[in-house]
Amino acid sequence: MRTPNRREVMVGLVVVAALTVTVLGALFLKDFDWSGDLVVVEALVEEAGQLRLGNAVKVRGVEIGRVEQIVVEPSGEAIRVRMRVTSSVTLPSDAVVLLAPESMFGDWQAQIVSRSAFPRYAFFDVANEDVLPGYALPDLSRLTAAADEIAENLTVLTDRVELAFTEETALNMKAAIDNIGEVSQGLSALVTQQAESFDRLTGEIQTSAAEFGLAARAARGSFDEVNRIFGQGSADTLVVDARTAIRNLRDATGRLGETADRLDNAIRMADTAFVRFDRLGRRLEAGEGTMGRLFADSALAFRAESALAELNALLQDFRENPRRYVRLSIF
Amino acid sequence: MGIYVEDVHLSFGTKVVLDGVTVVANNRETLAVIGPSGAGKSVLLKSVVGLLHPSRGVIRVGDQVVGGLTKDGLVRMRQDVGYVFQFAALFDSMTIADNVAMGLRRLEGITQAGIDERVRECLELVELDGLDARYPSELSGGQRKRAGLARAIATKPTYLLYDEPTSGLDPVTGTVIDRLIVRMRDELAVTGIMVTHDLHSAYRSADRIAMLYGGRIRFVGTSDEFRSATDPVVRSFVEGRPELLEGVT
Amino acid sequence: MPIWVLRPFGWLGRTVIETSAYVGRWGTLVWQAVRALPQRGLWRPHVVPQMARIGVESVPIALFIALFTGIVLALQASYTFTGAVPAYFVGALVGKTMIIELGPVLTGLALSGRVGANIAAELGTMRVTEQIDALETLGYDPAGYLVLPRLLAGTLMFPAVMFLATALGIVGGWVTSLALLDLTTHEFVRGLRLFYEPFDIQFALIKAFSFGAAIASIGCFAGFTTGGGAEGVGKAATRAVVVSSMVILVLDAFWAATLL
Repeated sequence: MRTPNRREVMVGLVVVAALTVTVLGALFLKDFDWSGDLVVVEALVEEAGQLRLGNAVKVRGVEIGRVEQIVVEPSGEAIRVRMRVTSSVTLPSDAVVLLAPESMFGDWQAQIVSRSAFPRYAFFDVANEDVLPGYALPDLSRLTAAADEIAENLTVLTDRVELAFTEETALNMKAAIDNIGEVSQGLSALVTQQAESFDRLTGEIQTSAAEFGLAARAARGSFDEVNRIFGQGSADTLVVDARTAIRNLRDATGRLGETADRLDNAIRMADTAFVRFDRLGRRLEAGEGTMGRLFADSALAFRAESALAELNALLQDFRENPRRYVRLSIF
Repeated sequence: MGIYVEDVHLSFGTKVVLDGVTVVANNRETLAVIGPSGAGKSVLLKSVVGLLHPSRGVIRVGDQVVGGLTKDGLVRMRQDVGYVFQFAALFDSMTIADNVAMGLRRLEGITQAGIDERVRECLELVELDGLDARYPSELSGGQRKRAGLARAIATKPTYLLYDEPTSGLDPVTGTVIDRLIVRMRDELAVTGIMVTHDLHSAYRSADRIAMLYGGRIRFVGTSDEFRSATDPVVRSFVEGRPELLEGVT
Repeated sequence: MPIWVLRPFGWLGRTVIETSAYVGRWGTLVWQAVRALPQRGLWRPHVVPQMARIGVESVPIALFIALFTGIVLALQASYTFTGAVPAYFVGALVGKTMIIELGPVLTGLALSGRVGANIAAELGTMRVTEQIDALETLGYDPAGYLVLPRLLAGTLMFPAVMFLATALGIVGGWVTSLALLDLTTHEFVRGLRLFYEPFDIQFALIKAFSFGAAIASIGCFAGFTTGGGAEGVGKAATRAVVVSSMVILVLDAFWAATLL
């Protein structure tokens, strides 16, 4: 083998340097982990929400990896989310995966949390020990749908009450109202967990939220009134007072439905704006109703006609501290 | 084994350069083609090796028709034809030895030692021995011409074509080149065509002289016949008197 | 019909015919070179020297241009992205622009000046001093002997030069972001990764191969068609630079239109 001349060596060097720079650069840009000590964590969820490949995997807010694969299980009944995370992190023994928005816009994240911290969420039932149960938070459109449904149910309820107001009905109602406390606890846990700061809040949302709150409070007042009446237990006044209370309640319900509509509108407007941001930022997907997850778990909302009170408290807080809830920075 | 040019026509665009040239260089003879600058002498020479393609007419080198050769046939024919360029056309980036070896490297079945041997022989023949490691830019004009000649004869061609072998040289160096041309004919038995506008060079080295004028061969003959020709074009050229050309068609 | 009505048509027709003929002769030369591929002994010894000349020697100028482009990109990005756009977009702009656009195009323009002119002048000189004719009379196929090694070297080395330049451009943008802008490495890298797609590299590679081939082949063609002595050589070099610069920009637009 003859000794290569200087020219050949230089060509070789340039080619190798270019190859190295290109390959390493490409890997770096793809966020390749150099340490190599990555492990795969898999989770099953009923649905994946807006989770995409490459989204962050976080533990206590710190990024430890990325979502590598999202596939529908062969059975079609679950989504398998495969994540590649640093092996040096010890996951909680009762680890579950919570899929939620990372910010107002676009990206979602997979949070690995302790199940005991979120007892109310319906994490997917996993038979296999190796796979973590997962749960994706619902979004705002579903919240408003829930609010609508609540309003509708109340209308039906009050109609019935008016038609055939018996003691039994009244007692049922009372029981329902008693549930409020319990449900509100769950909601506030969720809200606290979901709270993100608001940089800008559109006036529309604020106003709607305020009205929504007022309506909810009025509804709450009416319920209290009903409650009081039952508490007094005087039959004569009961019917008269109940009539008044129920009329009030019906009124409030109507207003609630109306404001829910307006809130819906506001969200739609926000969505339109998001579409524009989307064009600007391309990858910044306008998460339709992403805000929803900031408020409530609709499953809870669905369950409880009595969620009104909680909504009231929540919206009050929302009105007073809007920055805690929504972050509206474009990028 | 001569070079036969029959009724060759060649134009560049609308400019007719060769307009029916017929001339023969016989076996082991050196034919000088003379004529004024721009008469198409170099064009004729390039047509012979197939660098230019006549629009009409036939050129035969030995028994091969130049225009009818395949690519490989042309390559083989060219290995049998040495071409000495006007300004030597040496490859600047190579040493003289490498220049001379260029043609040899295309031959089949020749070893590196054979190439080196042949290069040494050729350089010796043109009296450039010892300059083999120099680059063309380090040589004088005459040395370059000789190096060009060495390169042309390296493959032992049967034919040699000289394009203005003495132009740009001082008379002494020019004579050296002329003597080399004669030696090539006598020692290597080559058939040659030299184009030149240097009459003295033609007298010294050529057996016959052909005059190219107006795209045709105006006159062919020996040096003596040329000197005594009465044709006004030949006379004007011999005597260097352009006024003789007035009225000539 | 008056003559002035016909004149523009005549001009247009002549231009089209001349351009087609030009492209055709260029294509013929490239085809002749490609056809010489099987004759390995003819071109192989010259590829590495040409790679050194075309590639290695072009690295400094390409790096120089890319470095300053990266710096300017970062500065201009931060200047443009005031207010609503977060700072880490500087990284996104520098990275994306360098990889898919400025890296290839600026390297291409730099090399069309350096390499294209060099090839054209070298081959042009060989043409007017009859060295190309001499090659042919010695039994060499000039397209295979002269054009093919340059074509291969240009096509193969351009991507190498370009990726080095691109990388340095990004580094330039990064250093600028750290030193002159209020950015952290983390933010810059975040921006860099934000819009990165693996296809970007392929896209740049496609551009690089085509630019390299264009520069080399146009330089060779300009050199081969040189006429008229030293002045002709100068014209050939100029023509190589002008034509290959234009072709690079046209190719750039072509690839953007067809592949993006």
